[in-house]
Amino acid sequence: MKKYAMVIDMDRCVACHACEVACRSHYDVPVPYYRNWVHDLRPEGVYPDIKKVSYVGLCNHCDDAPCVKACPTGATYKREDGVVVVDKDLCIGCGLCMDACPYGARYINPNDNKVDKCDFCIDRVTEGLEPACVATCIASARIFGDLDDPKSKVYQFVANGAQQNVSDKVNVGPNIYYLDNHNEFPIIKAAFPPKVPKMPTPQKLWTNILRPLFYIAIGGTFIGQLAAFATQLFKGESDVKE
Amino acid sequence: MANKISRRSFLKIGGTVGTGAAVGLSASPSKVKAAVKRNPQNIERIPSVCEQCFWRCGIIATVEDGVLKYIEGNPLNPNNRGRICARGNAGVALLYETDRLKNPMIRDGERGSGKWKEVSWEQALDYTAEKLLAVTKKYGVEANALFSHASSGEHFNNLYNYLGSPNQAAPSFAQCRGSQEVGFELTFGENIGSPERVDLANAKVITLIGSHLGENVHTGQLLDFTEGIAKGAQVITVDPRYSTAASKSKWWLPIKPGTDTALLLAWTNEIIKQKGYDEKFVRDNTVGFSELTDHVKDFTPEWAEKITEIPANIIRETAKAMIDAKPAVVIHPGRHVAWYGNDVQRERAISILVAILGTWGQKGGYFLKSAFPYSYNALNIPDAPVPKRQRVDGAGYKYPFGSVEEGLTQELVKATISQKPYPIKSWLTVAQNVFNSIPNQADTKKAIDNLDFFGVVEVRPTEPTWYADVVLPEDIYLERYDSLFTVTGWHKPYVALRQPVVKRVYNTRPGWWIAKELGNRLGLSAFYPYNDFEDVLKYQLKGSGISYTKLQKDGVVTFPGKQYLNPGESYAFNTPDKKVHLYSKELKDLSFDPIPKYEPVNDPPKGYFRLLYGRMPVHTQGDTESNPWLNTLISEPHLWINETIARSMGLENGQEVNLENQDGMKTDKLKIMTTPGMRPDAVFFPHGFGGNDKGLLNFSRARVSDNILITKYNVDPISGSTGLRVNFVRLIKDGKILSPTVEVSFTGVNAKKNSGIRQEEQNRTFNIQPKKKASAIREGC
Repeated sequence: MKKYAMVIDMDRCVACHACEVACRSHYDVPVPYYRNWVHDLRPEGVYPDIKKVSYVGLCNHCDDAPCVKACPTGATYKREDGVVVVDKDLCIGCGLCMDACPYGARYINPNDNKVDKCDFCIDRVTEGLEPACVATCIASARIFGDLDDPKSKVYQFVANGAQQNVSDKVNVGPNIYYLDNHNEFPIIKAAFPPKVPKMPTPQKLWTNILRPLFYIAIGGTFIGQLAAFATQLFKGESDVKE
Repeated sequence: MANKISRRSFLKIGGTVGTGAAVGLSASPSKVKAAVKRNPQNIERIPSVCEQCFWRCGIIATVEDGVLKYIEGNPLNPNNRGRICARGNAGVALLYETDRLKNPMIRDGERGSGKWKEVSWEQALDYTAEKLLAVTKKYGVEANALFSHASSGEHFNNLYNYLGSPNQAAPSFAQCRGSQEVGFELTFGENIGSPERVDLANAKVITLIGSHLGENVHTGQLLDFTEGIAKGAQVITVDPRYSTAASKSKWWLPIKPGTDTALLLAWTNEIIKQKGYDEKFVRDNTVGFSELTDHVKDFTPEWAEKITEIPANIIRETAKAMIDAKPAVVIHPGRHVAWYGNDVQRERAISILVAILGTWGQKGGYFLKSAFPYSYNALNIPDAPVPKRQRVDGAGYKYPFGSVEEGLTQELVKATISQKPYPIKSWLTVAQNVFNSIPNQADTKKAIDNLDFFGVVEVRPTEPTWYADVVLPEDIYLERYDSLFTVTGWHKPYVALRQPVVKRVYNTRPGWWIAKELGNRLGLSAFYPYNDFEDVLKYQLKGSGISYTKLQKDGVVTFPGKQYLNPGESYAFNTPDKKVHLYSKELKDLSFDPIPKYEPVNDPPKGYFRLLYGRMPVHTQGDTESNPWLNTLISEPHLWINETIARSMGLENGQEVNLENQDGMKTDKLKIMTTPGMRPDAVFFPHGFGGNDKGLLNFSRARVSDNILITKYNVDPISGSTGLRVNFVRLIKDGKILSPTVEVSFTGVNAKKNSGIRQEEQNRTFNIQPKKKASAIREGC
């Protein structure tokens, strides 16, 4: 069994943003949304000990993915190889998964009103290619592979201390790891801590799912009656046949 | 200021777009692409060459049913080995971008009125040729000047050569690499090329003095730089600012701006004193070592400490690192080196260090240029006429080492203002934004006012298009052929082909075609014995040993090169005596210093900061700011300023200020970024913004450019290249002039260790995924 994961090598990354644009291009992600990101922090510290870091992020394809639990239709699910994907045919664009995601990795694409997110370029990977962000990375700072394969680079980096963006409060088993040799990762964890997943409440289910459905039902009934009325107007009432 | 360009008037002009000819559709690239069927019938993968910057990476375009879906790096191209940067990826957005120039246009109102009429290509070309001929008739052919740049510039350089006008200039020399090329040529007899031949992947020590690799994304070098770091190279970054490269460095030396030559001389002093130089190389290959030794004997690290504010012990420590690592040491020559107007001498100082450390032709040092094993067929065309009058910019005579190929833009501007030594009455600009590349915008405007004709060949609206009499919209690089890219100075030498990957989107034409059509109308048809540029390429390659079909298919052909010298192998340097010139008799004979000296630069006046500028990784000069995929990453410049200084002026990170320079030139508001990683005596302005052509562009942008503030410049007497870092600015908030009330000492050095980072400033706001539309302004640069 495979378990896909990615390691970000912070020593190599120069925050050139190539990954971000490659992803936009491959998946027609409209501005200003994104499936992966590089958030640049300004250089901070006490002179002369300064650090300049960037947070490279994407969907963490969590082991215990809150988005999967939050999805009311089963559109978001975790594949056997660990990749969390969205079945667009089932997605109703309710956005509950977005509230559940600790990493802000999801958005609703205004082109189809469905949720979109990183899927590790699983179609490319199936074809034997690297994910688009990995393939374009000038610094070779993104390493993708199978965490269950001890020979893989990701396995070795993780074995050698690559870390996850987790906190005391939130640890849902993320599969993005950060390789940090210069004590820079704490800055990222402090600036971008994982958010406590907001799971759907009965109230949320009502406002996001049931109420829209209810309105659709009422609307549908009304339109049906209107149509029937119009038909009557134009065609006249037909004789009732016995 | 009587003659400054009023930004207000720019904006006013911008607000009154005439026919709206250049304002286009409102479709976004993602919509154009999304409109393609889910199951395309025809998927093509076409290799070509990028031109989102000058690095010319190999690309492969994936085209589905005629629509460009995405661009990837070409793994076969040694320049980028399958990788491309943010800009390269965003070529898709440029192709479908609505800001592009879409039709030929002729001005239909006062110059600068923004009134246009769309015309046919016939009309536009006839009109241009008519104007050029009128100027020729009245003032002579040399009165026609060309400002060119990039791949398409070459087609027009040829046109002006055929025409017989020597007055051609590109900013790539005088505002960029000129002094670097001249400095290295004087020392080694050859320049170090573009890409610079630095073996970063194998270096044990990398010294960056005037390079912010990482923020300038030169793909091939960045691949090597990160590889070198991963293999354990120690990096020494000399920069007044804590750059990305500095963050990867073992030593960050926040040098006082303008004092780099003092540091270089002190390193030379220390390396000679410690006998840390390559004795054999110096003995066998150089002239002037004893003069050099004598010259630098007083330039001790202690002497340099007082000037550079880098502690003497750190100068010694870094010198030792270079000594220990030699010959696997790269001292990067930098690329944009147009700083203070004495830049050839600074580059000479770098080249002398490169020489005495014996890194020439060595693994991990400077690698060699290879011999080109093929020969192209030359087109059967007449010889270009020899210009009857001397060029006006002084390249080659007033400035003895000024490039006669690339010219001196600012001198051509000056001559157009003075009309001396003879009148310059027409300009054609090709892929060069003369307002944002050449210093002192007011001069540029004044020169344009003197012209009988001003034509612009461009792909998108820029400030010059606004003043143009005729606009000739060019195909972008994804739609056209250009000359072959023949690169012998890279790890693996190669020839690469640019070919169209899609049908053109708008009513544009390739540069080669525009030049040829103008040539035909100017009586130069003998120089254009072809109808299709692809035929030229095929003809050039016929019998050369390179298959055109293979180039079409693979995009690139590589050939074996020789990067390193064999042990004990000697190298014939391309100087008259085949030696490396530590002491330059050539300079001495022209009354210049034969060995570089440190020349002090003025300190900022009280209350002012030195204006430094540089790149951001996602933008190329002013060419990409309107690209929606890049604009969303960095949409405005944030001025770097020391946080303690800023606080003393009552400023917090992210607040807006206006800048005013020493000549009273003011900018609109821009945001500041406070950081401890900036020297207190300077501010840093990310370059690449500030287009004033509001009316022509579809979405709002930052209207502030560093070049507005670069009204003053020096000229290097050796190369004729400009020194642009001689301007000072002060900060104004709500009409009040701000002045720092504290002094900040900046003499420490960051030698990498894991030390306490303050964590209190955690109330920052970041751009987390917007749920609905939101502005996408990122922090930092």
